[in-house]
Amino acid sequence: MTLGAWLAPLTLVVLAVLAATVTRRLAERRPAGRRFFRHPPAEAGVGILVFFVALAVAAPLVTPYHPDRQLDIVGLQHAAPSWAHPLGTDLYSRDVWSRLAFGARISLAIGALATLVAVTLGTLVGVAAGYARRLDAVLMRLVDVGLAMPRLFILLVIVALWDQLPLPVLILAIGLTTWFATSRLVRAEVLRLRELAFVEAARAAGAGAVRVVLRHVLPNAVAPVVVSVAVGVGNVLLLEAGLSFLGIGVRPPTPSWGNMIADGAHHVTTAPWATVFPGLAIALVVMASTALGDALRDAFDPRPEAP
Amino acid sequence: MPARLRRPLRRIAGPALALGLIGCEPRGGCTGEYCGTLVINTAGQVDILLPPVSQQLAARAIADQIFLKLADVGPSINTLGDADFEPLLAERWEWTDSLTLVFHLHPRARWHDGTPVTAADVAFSFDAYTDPRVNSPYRTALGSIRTVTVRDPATAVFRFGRRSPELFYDAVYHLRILPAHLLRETPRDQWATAPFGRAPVGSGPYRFVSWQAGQDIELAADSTFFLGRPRIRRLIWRGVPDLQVAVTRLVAGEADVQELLFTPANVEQVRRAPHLATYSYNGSVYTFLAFNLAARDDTARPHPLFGDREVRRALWMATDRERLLRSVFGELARVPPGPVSQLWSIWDPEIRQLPYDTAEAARVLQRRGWRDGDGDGVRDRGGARLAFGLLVPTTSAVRRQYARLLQEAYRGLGVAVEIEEVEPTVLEERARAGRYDAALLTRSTDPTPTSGFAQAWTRAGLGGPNPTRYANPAFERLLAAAGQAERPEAAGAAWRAALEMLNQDVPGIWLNAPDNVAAVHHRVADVRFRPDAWWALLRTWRIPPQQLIDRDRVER
Amino acid sequence: MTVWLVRRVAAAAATVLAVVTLTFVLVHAAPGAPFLPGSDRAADPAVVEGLRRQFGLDRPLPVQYARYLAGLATGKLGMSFTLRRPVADAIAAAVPNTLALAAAALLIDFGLGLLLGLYLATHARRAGDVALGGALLLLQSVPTFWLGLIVLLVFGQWLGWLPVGGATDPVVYPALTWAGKVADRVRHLALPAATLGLVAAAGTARFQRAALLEVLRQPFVRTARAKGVPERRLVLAHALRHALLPLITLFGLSFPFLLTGAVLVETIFAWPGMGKLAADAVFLRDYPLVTAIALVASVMVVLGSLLADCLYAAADPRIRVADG
Repeated sequence: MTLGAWLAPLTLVVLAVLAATVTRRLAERRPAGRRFFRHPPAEAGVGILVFFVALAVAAPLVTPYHPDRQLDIVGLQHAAPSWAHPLGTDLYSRDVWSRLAFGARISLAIGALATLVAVTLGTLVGVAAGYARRLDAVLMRLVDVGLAMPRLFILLVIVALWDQLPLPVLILAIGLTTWFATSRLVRAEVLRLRELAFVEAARAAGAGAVRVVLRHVLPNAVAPVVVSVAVGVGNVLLLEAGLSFLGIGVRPPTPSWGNMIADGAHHVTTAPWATVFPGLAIALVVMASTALGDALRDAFDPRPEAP
Repeated sequence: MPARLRRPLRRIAGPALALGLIGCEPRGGCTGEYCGTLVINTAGQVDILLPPVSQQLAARAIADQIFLKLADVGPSINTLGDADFEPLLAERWEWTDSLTLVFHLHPRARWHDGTPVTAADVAFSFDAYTDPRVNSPYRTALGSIRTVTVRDPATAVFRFGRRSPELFYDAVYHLRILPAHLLRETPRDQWATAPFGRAPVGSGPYRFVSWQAGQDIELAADSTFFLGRPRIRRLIWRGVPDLQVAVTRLVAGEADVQELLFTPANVEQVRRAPHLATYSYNGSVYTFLAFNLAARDDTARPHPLFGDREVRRALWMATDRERLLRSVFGELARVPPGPVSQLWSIWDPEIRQLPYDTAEAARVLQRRGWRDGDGDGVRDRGGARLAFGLLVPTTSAVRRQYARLLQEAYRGLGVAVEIEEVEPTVLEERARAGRYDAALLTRSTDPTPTSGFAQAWTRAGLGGPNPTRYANPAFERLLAAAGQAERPEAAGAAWRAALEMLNQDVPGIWLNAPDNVAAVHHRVADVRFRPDAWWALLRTWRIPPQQLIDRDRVER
Repeated sequence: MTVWLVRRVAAAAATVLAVVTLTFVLVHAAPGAPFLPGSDRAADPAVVEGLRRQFGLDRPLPVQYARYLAGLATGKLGMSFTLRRPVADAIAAAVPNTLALAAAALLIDFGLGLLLGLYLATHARRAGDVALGGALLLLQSVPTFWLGLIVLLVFGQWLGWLPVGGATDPVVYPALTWAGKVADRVRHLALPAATLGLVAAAGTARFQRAALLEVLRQPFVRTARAKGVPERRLVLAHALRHALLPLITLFGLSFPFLLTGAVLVETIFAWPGMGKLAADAVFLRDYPLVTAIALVASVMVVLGSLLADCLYAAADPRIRVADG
């Protein structure tokens, strides 16, 4: 790898650190922002996420090799990390660093989109159940059914329905099986908000149910939703990794962090770099999203300092 | 007791008691020639231990310790004639004419419950194997036998319909003899779920002990086995689905035998372990890239891509089979000269095949009109892209690896491959129904090509065992001639002609035939593997008394 | 109270029926078929057809569904296609193993989680909290199956302290004394339970930390502190009791996680439990086994949450009134 190729990821790291610091400076002007950054991991979380998102966006610019290129299937299989290949090569003599960068695109996209699906659905159901008492019983039974079915099992069965699962369907399937917890949280929040004075006032003034929901309830119920998003991304990434291990998921040769681990899972002793680096990437993103979730929870719900 | 004796008695009582206890401690466990416990890793699931209805390969290894055949192939695995077969349940045999075979059962053969084995059991077994209600996968394999009759309790007579050099093989290889007195009451259409299959009684060297669901199957040596008491007392099969975990068990000393290590990395790991020894023997499977010669939605029409012989030949020439093999298997496999496994004597590296020549492959495609008109890197012709789906099962790491390597190799030729990883059942279903373009298939073979080969490559197997839908009358004539050859040399020449025709038509690309490398704990002596059935000679393995370890000494 | 209970039980039964029906439809609709001999032998169509008829798969789907429900009503779960024995037997053999694994994992989860949560809360924002919190976060973020492979490698192969895979020792188990048998099972349970339990404990610890910190902020705690109650008694006697309530909900939510997370762990550790049985059944299209497992799993989960609800209602009367 040339010097320029080494400089590119370093630039990303610098960018991430800068972004984190700038965000902190800007946010600390407001009390919620100060509360957010009170957690030490929050700043690190922002930095990590910025790094990986930037990596995903700038993947073609920062990687010296095409992620699918098999460089030398006999001589360069599972090569240890070296100057030419900073993270080594995998079973097919493909550069791990390049695959990691392009894999970020797929993994983060799956994480974001599936979480979006899950949280949207969960919020809709949660609001409907919390606000409209008649729908509550039915919807909550549905949620119970959803929580009662073992998720991996359901995904196995859903995946089995297609001969070859297209990526959008995979995202949809993951989203459809992970919205239940969100709906419970949102419902609880909506139930609490319903009883509050300003909502009562709006109803007394004659506002229709939908209007009340949209203008008064939903904006204030944002807290559990945002927290769900943050935590959800992490869960989806781990789920995708598990599915890839079982042989389901993103189609080759497209890299995703999950299928990189799956490819190398049986060579953990002879070529640990093939699984450690994508595993580390997943762990870092999950950690970052969890830390951000904690920080967001704190930012939305003001609490006095602990003794 | 007099007072003056009591005190000294008390003084020695304590130590004497202690000494007595220590001295009287029983010397633990089994010692001698007939001890030994082998823990065997097995990857596949065992469905049922009743040979006619079992469909899983893993079950055969166990069932063959419990049930016997009349005779079995020898170490040379020659299936022609009867000179190279070894007697088992039958002590001797003779041909009264070219279509009648008489077996004389061993006088000391007994079922594990003590009842003698009689010719009635042989006739009963044949009847069950060929009964449509039992629905045995081996029914067609026994097609050349017309009747099996009982002349007297120790003599069974087989009559065949047509002459063939493999009549003896047909009679003995698949037919395991079952106890009529224990199975007669089971309704024939319920054999697939018969409780006997979970607690079988046979006449073989090992008797069934226990089957812990999902885990272990234990067999114990039959000390009265008429062909010689097995030296190893207990055999325990443990199901370990994950290959890495199975190898870990071997290296950690918790398992003694694994029939197949698969990858060079595993073989390396096992070779480094001081307590394990590796054994290499010919593999009995081969893997090939199957082309679907018929259209996906209408089997009467040719496939838009692979109906064209030149396209298939071009893809063959673009495949560097040796290099792919080296990448995946290292030194542990060979490139097959046809759809043959290493088991078959017709394996002949001199058989003519198309060469590896990417330039020629590109020229052939150009001549057929496949050019990259729109510059997207994929050839096209008349609006259609030279792209196809490649079916691969999710459970085979080797085939998944090959798929990715092939995808990249063909990309260089301007051919786009879409890898479709599906579950094994889906693969088999789609291959059977013809709903695929190309697939990576593995076939495991019997010791002789005649049984499965015709099914796989002729019109007789359409809609079933012939997934490529290859139908060539000229090839079928050559095949028929090869099947009739009486001696190995004549057979070799005839098979060579047939395979060379196949290699010209390229209904598939023969990718690899792996060597099997097995791992066995080094304390086990007299280890012999028969390539067609690695478990066949287990009863002759032994553990020398001075090599016994704790596991071997445990008394049951 | 009884009305509430009856209503909840009825809802639970309806949930289970919905789960079973959904599974039945999904698994029959999936491509691929049972009875195919595995991927190295060509399938003989006559044999496959015969097996389909023998197991009743040639009838139309609604008829099969009706027969299945009728069988359920009489307590028969059907015959497994792949194991060739009654489904009930197969599940009965696997359920205790899954329960053992889940129980051990839950023990590690809540036991360790509680202790760690206590430590984190009492040392909040100091070095110990940051370091341990970070480590726990990392543990929670690692894919479970990857952790399992590493754990197996380190403890099973390199150190050789614990056995590799399986629930019991294949050779000596039948010959052991009762105490020996228990010890053997515990040794085999250790690694898979630790893999599942540690990851869950990390989550529980952080949850507990937050809950405890929440309680410690309450006015009544401040009053007690002002009155001079020693810190340790404060935390253990007062705060902990209040912080335990949310744990009950967590327990209810953990159960399905353990059943599903267990699939990967069971595959790696060759643990003969329901997760592995389920995955194999789905892969091989063993319809009766798949639906029966869905049934059993949903019953266990629904019972678990019912139990959690009962405990919650017993502890907090407001819930009963509001939900009624």
